[in-house]
Amino acid sequence: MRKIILVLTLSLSLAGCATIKNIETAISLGTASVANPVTPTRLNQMESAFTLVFAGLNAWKKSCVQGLIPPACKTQINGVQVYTRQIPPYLAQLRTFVKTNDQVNATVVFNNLADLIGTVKSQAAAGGVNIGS
Amino acid sequence: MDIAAVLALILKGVGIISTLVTIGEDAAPAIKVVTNLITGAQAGTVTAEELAATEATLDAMITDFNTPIA
Repeated sequence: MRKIILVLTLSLSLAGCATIKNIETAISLGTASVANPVTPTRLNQMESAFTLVFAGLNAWKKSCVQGLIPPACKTQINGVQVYTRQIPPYLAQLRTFVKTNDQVNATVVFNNLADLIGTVKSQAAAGGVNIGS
Repeated sequence: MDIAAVLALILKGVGIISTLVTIGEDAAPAIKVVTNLITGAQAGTVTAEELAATEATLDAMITDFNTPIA
């Protein structure tokens, strides 16, 4: 079984906001396949991991709104939102496919979401928020 | 259940809770996630109610982040 571990580490290193830079989370999603199906438990793990990532992203956004970090953060967050706004439709599809045990489509969407989070990682890194290791 | 992955997630979740508390952010959603992960790990599987709770928490956090920044 081919298993690729996707490790996402969120670490904020924002100038002017020393206390926020220690936020860090890592998730191991793996790659879904017929041999490694997306069970409800695995879906729960993915959604839990995403929740932790978004806890960090929301802390970043709040710090930006409060003016605790350089104003360029607004443009950076807008850039990340282009990709995070694509997540809800995928999540809705994945939940349906898992609940109906449609593993073929669940696998495709699961891997699309993993790719999307990878893109979010790249965009956030460009704004000083490093998601990945 | 991939216990190693869950434990790693719980560990990181505890770390992020600590940081959120330190910077004065609402840590409740992250606490709920970690609690659900521990409960699920103990049971060996996740219940429909736990999954629904995780989904609701995530949906709220995504909506929060995706709101246009002022």
